Amino acid sequence: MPIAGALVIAVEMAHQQELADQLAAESGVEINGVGPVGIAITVETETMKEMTCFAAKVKQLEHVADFQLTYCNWEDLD
Amino acid sequence: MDLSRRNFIKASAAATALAAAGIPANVMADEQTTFGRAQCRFCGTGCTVQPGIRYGRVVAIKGDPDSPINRGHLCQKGYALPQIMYAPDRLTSPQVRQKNGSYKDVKWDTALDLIADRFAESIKEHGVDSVAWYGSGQNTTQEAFAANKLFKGIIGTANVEGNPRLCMASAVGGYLNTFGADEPAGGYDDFDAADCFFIIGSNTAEAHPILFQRLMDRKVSNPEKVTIIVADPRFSPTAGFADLHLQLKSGYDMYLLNSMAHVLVSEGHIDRKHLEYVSFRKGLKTKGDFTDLDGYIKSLEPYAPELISDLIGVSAADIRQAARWFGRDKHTSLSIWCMGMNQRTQGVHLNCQLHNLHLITGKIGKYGSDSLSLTGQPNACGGTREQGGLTHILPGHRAVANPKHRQEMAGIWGVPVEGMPIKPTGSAVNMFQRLEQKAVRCIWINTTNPGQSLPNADRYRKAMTEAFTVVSDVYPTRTTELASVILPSAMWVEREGVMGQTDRRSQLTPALVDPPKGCRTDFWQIQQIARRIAQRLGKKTNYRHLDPMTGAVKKTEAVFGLGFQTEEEAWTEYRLATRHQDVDLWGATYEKLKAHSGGVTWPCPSTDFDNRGSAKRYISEEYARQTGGVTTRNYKTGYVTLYDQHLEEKKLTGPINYYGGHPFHKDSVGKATIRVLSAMTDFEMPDADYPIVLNTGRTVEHWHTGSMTMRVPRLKAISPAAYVEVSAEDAGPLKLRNGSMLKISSRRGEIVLPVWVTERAQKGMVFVPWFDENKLINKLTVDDPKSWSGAGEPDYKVCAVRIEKV
Repeated sequence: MPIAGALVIAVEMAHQQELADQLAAESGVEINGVGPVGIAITVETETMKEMTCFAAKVKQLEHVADFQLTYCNWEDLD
Repeated sequence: MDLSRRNFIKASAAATALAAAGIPANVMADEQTTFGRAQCRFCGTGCTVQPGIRYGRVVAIKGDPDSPINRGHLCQKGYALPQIMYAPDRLTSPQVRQKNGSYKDVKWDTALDLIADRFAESIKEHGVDSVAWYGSGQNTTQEAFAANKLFKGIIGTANVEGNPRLCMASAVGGYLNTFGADEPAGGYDDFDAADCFFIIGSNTAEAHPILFQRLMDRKVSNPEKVTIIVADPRFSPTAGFADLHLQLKSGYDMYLLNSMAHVLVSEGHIDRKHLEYVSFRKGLKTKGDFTDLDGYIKSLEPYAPELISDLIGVSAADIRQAARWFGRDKHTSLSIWCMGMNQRTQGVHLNCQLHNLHLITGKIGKYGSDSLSLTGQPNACGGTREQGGLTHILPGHRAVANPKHRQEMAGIWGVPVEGMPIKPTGSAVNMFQRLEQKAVRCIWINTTNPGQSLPNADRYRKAMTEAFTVVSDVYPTRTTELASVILPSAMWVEREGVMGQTDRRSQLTPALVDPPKGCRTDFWQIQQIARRIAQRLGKKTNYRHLDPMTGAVKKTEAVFGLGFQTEEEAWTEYRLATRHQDVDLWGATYEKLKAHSGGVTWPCPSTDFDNRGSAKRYISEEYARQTGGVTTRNYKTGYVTLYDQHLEEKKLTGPINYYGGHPFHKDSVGKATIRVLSAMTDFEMPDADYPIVLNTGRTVEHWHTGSMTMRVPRLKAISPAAYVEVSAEDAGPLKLRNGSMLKISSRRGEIVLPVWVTERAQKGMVFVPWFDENKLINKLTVDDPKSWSGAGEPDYKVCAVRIEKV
């Protein structure tokens, strides 16, 4: 089950909190903090393909300038 | 907090995300903390870090956002860096073993004089080859250069080896046999433009997490275009990300690579323009035996996927799919590999065969395409491969056996050429075999742990105990317990030095804090021993004071010892040794290394401050312009060229020029060489008596023998001991469950470990990590010389064992 850390960068700082709220509503997403560079999140998905799809989806969200994986782990944790 | 593995992984993920977001995750950092810049102490990625210093101690760590390598990110081992330094059992006094086996603290002078006496006596009584140096890919380049000068230049023995022989030698052999020059043509920036990643023999997700993150960044940005192929007998964490996992049987990689080559040539993926810069030869011979494309194609006929599919355990369709993705027209392909290719009986052959895929398709020398060997240690490339820290080589990619090269180095070192060794003695395991035979009587082991890492370890543990063995280290290890004398060393940012990484990059780590009282840097130790041995042998060195910007000799004096006083002076002398060589670091001045995060990438002949070297080798400026549209890449400070500055300096012509004229390949003709190689398996394949393959490797929490990471409480708590991965198919008949104890026996030894029944293991294969000093898995691994690759590297990946429930 993949677990990823990621940085989501908003187009404008003014949209950061709104974007964070939007991300928090996504299944498997936890907001770790909102900093000067972007929004720190962790994501858990069932498969790597879902992780890839999630990343692609976030990139398409309004106000998102970039999505960067900072960490990604896949292993049979359960 | 519940310290489950899931929580640990999640906390690591959160820490990296928070750091990237600019939110300090390390609570110990405050306004009294000042941040310096250094290179991570662990793997060969060479991430640039910012250690936080308070009251003379490292208290915090963060990734350097200016670094072109890790761009501010770190892995969980990187985040543990401050904690590797201050474990309570840090060695702080020289110790000498007593007759009853106990150790007694002694003064530094006592220890140094004892070592010098014993080495000098041995040289006088038994000759220069009775003493040896066994160094490390974790020595700084200055330390390695100093030791090389002491042993080859002053003492006059080629008994200089190091642990990179156990990890990188096959990669060196592959590059030399194919390109005539060691180390890759491209670098990390190729991760950002690769369309196909071919990962073979590398668990990148665990062993090189930062590079894997760059890979995943590329994938998630272009999920449809980018494909990831992983070839590995294990269903490793890396394989979990693959679009296509080629789960071949252990030992059959050469069949797979030849089969992919067969598909590439038979389905028209040949780049005929690029083949103008390629020659074809049968085998790994250094002279003659040329063939041609037709000969190569014919040699691949037996490897049609449908013919070898059952043998190697991968479907023909998957082999064809992998080759098609790799060879796609107008797409880029980046291959990365590590110990799974190198620590193999056929390690050199495997490396050559992988290069062949790139040469035949022309997927090299372009942004996003390269054949990039990953390195496991922070300075295996710089301190050993480039500096010449093995028996057969001299600094600057020179050869011991080449009289001209010896003459050049004698001049640079200020030693008489007639005193230098004229031929190699033997590779690492051979050196320890000569220790066992008492041909080598005194050995200095520095910054490495062969008591745990050598194959068939018990055999050489006994040899080290019986010889006069000096061990320099920072903590007690399974090697210090064998030592005659233990020297306590400074570590990481307690010492100053340059290290060279995977992509031909060199970075400077300054001394940011003092070492604990009683510890000394390895550079200082080598200086002290060199002076004492030289005095006892009556050998003086011509100390040449060099101008660091021009190389001019300002004055000379005859001295006992190395002839340089500081790390910067040693670096200047080393730079001079690389000047005008393919590994040209003359332009890597201290001024530049201090200023530029991520350092300098050779070849860098120019001392111009903004010039940080060449990101691509073997291609001209015009070719770079034609294929990529640009010829330089700017970083926050300085720039790299996207072409080879060595070609410019040497006035080598052609859009692509693979140098040629390498000392090991006398009739090379300026072309790369596709080696036509038959497929073979490893030395010790499973049989009726030992029907299972033992594979060994690294985990995400621990690095190498665990001497540092096992002293990080968080990492030790989450991964405290070794285990054995067993497939459900093999576990069933033995009624094994998680936690069952399993005895694993090879022809050399046995070990009992708790079982993890997991899909990671393939039927017929078990995997054991090697970090646990209490469970020496290398008691079992194979050390027979016939198991070594052509580059003298042992096989840690395919070892026949049997398993029994206990």
